[in-house]
Amino acid sequence: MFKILLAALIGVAVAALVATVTTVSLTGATATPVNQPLYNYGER
Amino acid sequence: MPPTAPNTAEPAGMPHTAQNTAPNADTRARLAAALLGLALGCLALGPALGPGFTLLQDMVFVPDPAFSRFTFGLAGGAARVVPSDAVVTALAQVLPAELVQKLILLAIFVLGCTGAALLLPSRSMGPRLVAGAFYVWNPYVAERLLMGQWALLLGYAGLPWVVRAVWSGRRVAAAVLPAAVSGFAAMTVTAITALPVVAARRRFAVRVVAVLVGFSLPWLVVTALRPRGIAGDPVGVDAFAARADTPFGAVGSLLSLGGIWNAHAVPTGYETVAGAVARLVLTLVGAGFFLRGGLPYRRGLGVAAAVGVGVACVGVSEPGRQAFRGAVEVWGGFAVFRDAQQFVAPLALVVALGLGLLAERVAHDRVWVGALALVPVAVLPTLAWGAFGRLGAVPYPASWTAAREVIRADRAPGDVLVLPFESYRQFAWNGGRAVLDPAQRFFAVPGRRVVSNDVVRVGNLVVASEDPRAQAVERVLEGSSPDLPAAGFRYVLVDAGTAEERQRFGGWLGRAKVLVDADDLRLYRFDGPVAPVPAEQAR
Repeated sequence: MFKILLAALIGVAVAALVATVTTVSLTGATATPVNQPLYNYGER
Repeated sequence: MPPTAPNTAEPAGMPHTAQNTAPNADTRARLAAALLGLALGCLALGPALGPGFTLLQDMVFVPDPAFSRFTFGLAGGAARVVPSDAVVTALAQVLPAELVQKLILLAIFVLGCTGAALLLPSRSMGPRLVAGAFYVWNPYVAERLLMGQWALLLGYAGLPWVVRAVWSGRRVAAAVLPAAVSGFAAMTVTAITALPVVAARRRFAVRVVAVLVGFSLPWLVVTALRPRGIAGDPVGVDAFAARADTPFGAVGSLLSLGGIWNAHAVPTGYETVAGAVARLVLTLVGAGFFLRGGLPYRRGLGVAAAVGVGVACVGVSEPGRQAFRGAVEVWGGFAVFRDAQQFVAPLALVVALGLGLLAERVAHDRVWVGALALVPVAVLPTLAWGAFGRLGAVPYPASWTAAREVIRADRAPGDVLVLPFESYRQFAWNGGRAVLDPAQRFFAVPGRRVVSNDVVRVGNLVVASEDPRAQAVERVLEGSSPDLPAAGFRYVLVDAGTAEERQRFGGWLGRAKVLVDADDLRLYRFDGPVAPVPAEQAR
């Protein structure tokens, strides 16, 4: 049973790895996270 | 699923002693965890370990730092740099400052990984390494590293050692030392973690409380000496409240150990649904195994994690923010709760230990344990290589060093003003990374105050200055032709600014001499008399 849980965890982790690498490769990692404000640095 | 009690734990004793683990196994685990922490630290920091300084957000280190009133919290805003700046400045007297920075950053990973590994009672090394790996490779560490909050992370790295010491009643002072070096925020996180744990070990309570209070004295005393310095702006409650950085809302993000307020501090590629699901599942599984496990400090650490998450969640709702605003208005010291996401730190320890307990169940199978140790890296791969290139190392420009030599050699009285009068910079020579202006520390010299702004702008919100001197200067600069010598300034540094701003500054500084003139910095000096600074602004 623990091995099933571990296999599921590892599967989810691999899916996350693939999704992150694909997203970063395709978007150049410029996506803005959900609902986040930004420091206002202006032109400085 | 049956309750998971580690097969080696002694519920009433220390989590890891000769009672349940052989000394040799313990030594091997300590060494292996330290090496794993070092490897993960090198992987995470990557280019930041190259020659030069890592300057990002709140992380500011400078070459050959000098002690000043600011170092000891006797000038500027709240005593957030006490005593961390003094410790760094002292270390930099015997080691190059850039080496001090790299050693501190690596120490976070080594200390954190080793502490979490040793806190888990196990005869097998694998489960301990799983706990250690997760504790130093998770969204909390990534986001706080990208915020440049090395001092908070040093305190975070000490948390497992604190739990261990508090439970055993031994070496409490040594365990709290990393947080003590770090200062106010880290000590608050440590207290929230330690007090529920010691509640079950009352015979040690007096000692633990005494250590926590004693190690807080550096900033408590300074704060008492300068009560105006902690006039926290309640606007910060809204600006720094935890935010959603996953599709699961703010609370879901906090439970995933993320949820920091600043978009610039969110790891690259963090927004994928698969990644968010994986991180949330990982924390829920880890927390579940911890709660069902038989670790002796389970109740205390579980309460600490619940309190920490609870505090972080208060700012998520409007009534909660209103309560925090009211608290900050009553006493500025409550401003530490504005950036409440930092209090999910005990949850990170809970999850790390829970994942270690899960690994304990398959400890005989190295393949499974090895795979589980890699899971934290897989769910957050962009922490690697300097958080995907966002951490780097750069030298300070030669013009900065030249200007500092001029200022240090001058015995004439008068302070240094840094323009533009804004807190943060995105220097071209620093790869455009946003950083708190290093000028205040770089140009520090005994007897001469370096005044820069401490206002923080977050979106449309402006968190007001806490520094009486900066507030006064702000009023002076509102005029069309500010008289800077009358405001106490001998030197003016212009280290950034738009073309329009530089032209305006040129008008203000028409009667000052230009002593250093480079693309990245100009140093102006006013000859003649400079007015003394009123006592209420100097403090």
